Amino acid sequence: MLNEIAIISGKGGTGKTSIVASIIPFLDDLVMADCDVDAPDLNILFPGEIRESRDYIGFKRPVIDYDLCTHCGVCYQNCKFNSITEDIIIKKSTCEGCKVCEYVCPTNAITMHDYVIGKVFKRDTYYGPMIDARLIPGEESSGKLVAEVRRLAREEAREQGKGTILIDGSPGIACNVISAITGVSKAVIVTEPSVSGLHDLKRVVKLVKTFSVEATVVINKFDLELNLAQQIKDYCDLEDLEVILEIPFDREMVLSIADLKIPSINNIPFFETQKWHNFISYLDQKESS
Amino acid sequence: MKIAILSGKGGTGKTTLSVNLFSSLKKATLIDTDVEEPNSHLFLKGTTYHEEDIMKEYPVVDDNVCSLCGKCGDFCNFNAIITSKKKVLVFDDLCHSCGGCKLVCPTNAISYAEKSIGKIFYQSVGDNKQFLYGKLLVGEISGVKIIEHLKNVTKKEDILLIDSPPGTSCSTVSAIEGADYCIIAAEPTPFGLSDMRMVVELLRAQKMNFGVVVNKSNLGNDDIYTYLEEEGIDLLGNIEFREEFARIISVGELLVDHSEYVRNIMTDIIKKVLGETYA
Amino acid sequence: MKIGICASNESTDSEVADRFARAEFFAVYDSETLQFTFYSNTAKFEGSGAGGKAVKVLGDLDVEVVLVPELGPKAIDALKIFEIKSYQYKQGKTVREALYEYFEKKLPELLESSVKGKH
Repeated sequence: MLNEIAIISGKGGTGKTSIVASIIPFLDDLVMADCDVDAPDLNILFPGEIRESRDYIGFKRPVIDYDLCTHCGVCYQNCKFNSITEDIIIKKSTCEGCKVCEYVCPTNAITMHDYVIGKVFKRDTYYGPMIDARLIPGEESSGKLVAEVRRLAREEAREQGKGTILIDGSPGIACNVISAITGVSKAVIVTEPSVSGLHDLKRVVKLVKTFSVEATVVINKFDLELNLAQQIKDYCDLEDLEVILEIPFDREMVLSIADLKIPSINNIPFFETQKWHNFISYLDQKESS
Repeated sequence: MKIAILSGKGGTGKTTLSVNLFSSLKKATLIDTDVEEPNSHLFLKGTTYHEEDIMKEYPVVDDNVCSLCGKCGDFCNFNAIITSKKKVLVFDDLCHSCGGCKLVCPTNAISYAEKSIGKIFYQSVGDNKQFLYGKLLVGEISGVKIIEHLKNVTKKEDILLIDSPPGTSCSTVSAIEGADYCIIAAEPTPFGLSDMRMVVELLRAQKMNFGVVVNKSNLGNDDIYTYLEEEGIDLLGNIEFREEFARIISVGELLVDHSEYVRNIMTDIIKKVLGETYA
Repeated sequence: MKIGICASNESTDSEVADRFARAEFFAVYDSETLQFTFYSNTAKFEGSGAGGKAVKVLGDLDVEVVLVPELGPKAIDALKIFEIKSYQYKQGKTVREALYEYFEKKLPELLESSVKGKH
């Protein structure tokens, strides 16, 4: 059975992508899925041949045939998303593709057309195949694009006989994160010792429990604020969540990424500790049927 | 003037910038539109004097009138209605409230009920200052409605700061819509630059005026400055990373309360964006 | 009667799918004709609500029993309105093997949303 691991964070900037990058060289048999479609960064650290790229059609949007349009305004009156102006012009930034306008138009002047909302890529990197995607800035349906990245990653794993998929999720708790975590074998929540970190951790834990996903917590930069790190540990205790790893703050890790070097294979002492290796072993555990 | 503060990458200092700029202004309103993970209230420590539930509609089927034709389920674009020959099932958390199911129902069996998808909090934070933030209920798929509401109740404000969600998708677009100026909080790292490019693309498509503040300016490289120069983008300021700053932020305090260096940078930004009189 | 089986590919020798709503294909076995027909699971492309949609796909094919790896809460609710019974197979089997195990009454009926255990 596929071992799908999602790394998420709730709050941005906790070091999620740096940790994903650090994990990659330590897992065999891997397909990488960059599900942070607003800000796909993994391919910067793991460049590779683009094997395939294709436009992704998110949903359909209305197109008005002004030869048939009588400006009756029924579409404008019925649109719940303020996506049609009184002058009967489509405002695509708020359109959700519900098709109500097409349905109500008395002269059939509105038809729904496929709409490209992003691009999907299959790459071959040094550590294995990667599926990533870019959402066109401003677009809707990021959740759907994330689901597509996951689907392609699973397809790739099956075709190439790979056993593990590592998912880099996005910050937040809405549709794109939900799509990144449903049905995964394990979720790892990366947090930091700050009031924001704790606040956001609580919300993402709630999300993970809503979707019944097994989760553990990593406290990154834990020694920047030991009191808050303890508060996080106390919270996790209360919620029956394991804090599986605490990573100390090290400027070298940030500078490593800035230099486009993977922190865990760049002579940073933390990644040689037993703690790190235990974490990898946990990630590598495949569920028995 | 409406000023939105946004970033491509999360964690580059949007909220830090928003709350510290807000504190440096004599008179202003701040709205935290990162309704998935709002953080500004942790720094401003105001008291909530008013709360509002933000509601969405979802369909309720009258089984006595329903003919089980299945048209509502066929129409629904969001998989919120599933119909069998025996029953109609509604998943209200998936509903986008488009109103389509009611329109297509031939027997008028559908009416709408309301449920809360989150809240808006109004907080008092001092004289001449107003602060509102939104919070999405965990499990709901989109906070756009809450963001729209926040924007709506503050549209007449003189100086409005909008702490926006990270990323460049629909929530962010909703937050920045109608802004007069955008401040991008960026990091001088390869990830930071890559994500900032996407924000720049978005802002240019939306025809926005914008400038950049580089955060943790000493942790990275110069590529971002080269990019800003090449693209003719205004650099509004640089804020260094210092461990003491990280600690101050960690415990939920304002940098301007502890550092003259930061106070000066905020004043500079205010002068550049709003003008001398506001500093 | 028709029995649906979640499949990873279009062959009775292919492995059963490890997810219900995101299965690549549904194999439908007709106990009267003794034939298998494979259908692409269109729900796998959905961003959200895939569980309900997958059930709709099967329900519209008049499937009465479905063999699954797991089920989320939406799928469970949707299966109820179609009065489809679900039985849980173990991973790693082929489509054909899972079907045999169903007929041998070796598969437990899934009555509630299966929750993954905590670490």
